[in-house]
This record gives sequence, structure tokens and C-alpha cells, in this order.
Amino acid sequence: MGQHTDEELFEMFSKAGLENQAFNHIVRKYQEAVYWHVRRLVISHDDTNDIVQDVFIKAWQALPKFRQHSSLYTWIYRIATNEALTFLKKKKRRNLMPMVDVSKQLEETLEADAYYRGNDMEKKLQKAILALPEKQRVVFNMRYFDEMKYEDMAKVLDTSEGALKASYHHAVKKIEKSVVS
Amino acid sequence: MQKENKEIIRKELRELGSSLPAEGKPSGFDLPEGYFESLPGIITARRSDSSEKKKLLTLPAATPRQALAWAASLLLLVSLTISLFFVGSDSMNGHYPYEAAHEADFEYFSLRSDLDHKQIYDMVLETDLSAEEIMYGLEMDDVADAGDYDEMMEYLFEEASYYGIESDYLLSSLD
Repeated sequence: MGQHTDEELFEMFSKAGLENQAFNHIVRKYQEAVYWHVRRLVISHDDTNDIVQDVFIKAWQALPKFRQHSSLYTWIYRIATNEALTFLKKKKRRNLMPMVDVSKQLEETLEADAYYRGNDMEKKLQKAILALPEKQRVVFNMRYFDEMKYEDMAKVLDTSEGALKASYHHAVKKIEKSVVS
Repeated sequence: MQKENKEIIRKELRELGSSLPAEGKPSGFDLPEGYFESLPGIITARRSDSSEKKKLLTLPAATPRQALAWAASLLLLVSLTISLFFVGSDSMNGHYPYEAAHEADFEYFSLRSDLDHKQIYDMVLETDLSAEEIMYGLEMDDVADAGDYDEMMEYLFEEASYYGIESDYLLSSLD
């Protein structure tokens, strides 16, 4: 069976009695993209699992109020990004840590996570990404790994395409320097 | 969901003088077998569970003035709790006094409502939302225009949600 378009899913969701079925399709359509986006930000599989579930629960609760000015894809991505960043913010607040220490803690999480099997090169790249300032890290992941268009990223992060390009360029340069050294 | 053309990604990396590969990107992340097959079922189960809880845990209606006063009181309470903890404790070890703050919140809410500690605790867990989350599905224009007002609202929502006030309830009270 081919995947439904967002419009079809939305139409299905608005019909009485089909909400659950439509939402189940939405979860199946976006779960992998959401999972990997969150996972790259919070690193641990267990934390990611909790966050991904929360993302879809919140999407379910907010979907009746969703206005189709943005696509379902960028909307869900936006929820996921905010959930992941809120998680990191809470982590920082809970331990009274500056962001740089959160990065250190995420590095430790990477080393300890039962579901991380990166080789030396992969670990080096991940650590270089974790050393980036938070915004650059989000932008780098979205562009490099998720291959998102700047136009969509701008909708998700509520910022200009120019600022995103600048962030991505800075991030790539820093990573390059760190990986090569 | 349309991805960016791979050639554009490759060209961009090349122009930046990067040796990062545009294909077969290294990551090393793994996940439990069958994870994506079971996730939709888990989410469906949680959806039914959370809608049941939501029915049970709804705060009584209040006027906008009461809601703002409530939020302001909460902010004051947070500040007091934190200051008292810092002044009274020399064994802080760099950790935020969450346990102490929660106890104070529960007491505060118990006094102001008919809910017991267990119900309040459940409510705090249930409504652990940030300001941004609350805004999903709503148009920002519907909520506010001025930047400083946005900031104030964001702060209020964040604090209120941390203390278990239903976001929908706060929003409707502020209409």
C-alpha cells in the first residue's frame, strides 16, 4: 500500500470515526524521521523513545486545532525539535549546568548507550557535532543527516533561510576542523 | 516530505571544503529490533490512557485576573523556595532543590484546591509542557503581537506548566 499524502490523512482525520485510523497512519509515516531527528539531539535511545511518544501524544492532542498553513511534516518536526530541546534544557536546569557541560554529558551518554555501535570515525564525528552550540547542532543535523530544505528548516525553527545557511556553514567548518585534527 | 536534492547537499559540502561524505553518512546509532513495528501500538495505548487521565484532572475555571494572579503567586513561590533553599542549605553540591520545591507546590495546590498530593503529582506529570508546546496548533497572531508580551507569556506558561497548571486552561482563561 502506498503512503497517504498529508492532505489525505488530514481529510481522513476530520471524518468522524476515522480519527484513530488516520492518526495511526500519521505515526507510521513520520515515526522514523522523528525518531532519528530526536535521537541525534538527545543521543540515548531510552530518552528518545520517551520523547518520540510524547511528540505523537502532543500531536494527537493538538491536531484538531492544527491549521494547514504549514505542512504536517514541518509541524510534527517542530514539535519534535521543541520536545528534544526542552528535554535538554530541563537536563541543564536540573543539574545547574552550562550548555558545554550538557555536551560533555551527552558524550558520556554516547559512550554508555547500549544502542550505539559507532566505530572510531563515527564517534569522532558525533563528538564533534556534540561540541557545537545547540542551534548549530540542530541545523547541522537537519541539513546533513535529514537532508531538509532550508525553506522547511526555516518553518520548523522559525528563522530565516539566510541565518540557517550561515549556521550550517559555521557548523560544517567546525566539524571539519575537529574531525581532521 | 520532500528531501533536498542530494547533488545540492554534495555541492554545498564541496564548496565549504568539507570531506564529510554526502552518501552513506556515518552515525553508528542502533535501536532495538522491531522498534518501529511496536511503536504505533505503544502510542495508541498511551493516547487512550492520557485521554482518560485528562478527564479526571481538570482545574476549575477562573477569570483572567485570577489566572494571572495565580501565575504570579507561583512565580513568587518558586523564587522564595529557591532562595530559602540556598540560604538554608550548605550541602547544595550544585544541584537544584527539586524535591523541596515539589513538596512546597503540592502543599500550595492542596490548600487552593480539592486535590490531594497524589492527584497533584499526577497532574504535574501529565502537564509537563513548555510554552512552545502549548502554542502548537495555534496561530501565534491569535495569542500576541508585541515581542515583550510574547516573552512574558512564554515565561508564565513555562512556569505554570512546571507547576501543573493545565496549558489549555491557562490559555482559555487569558482570552
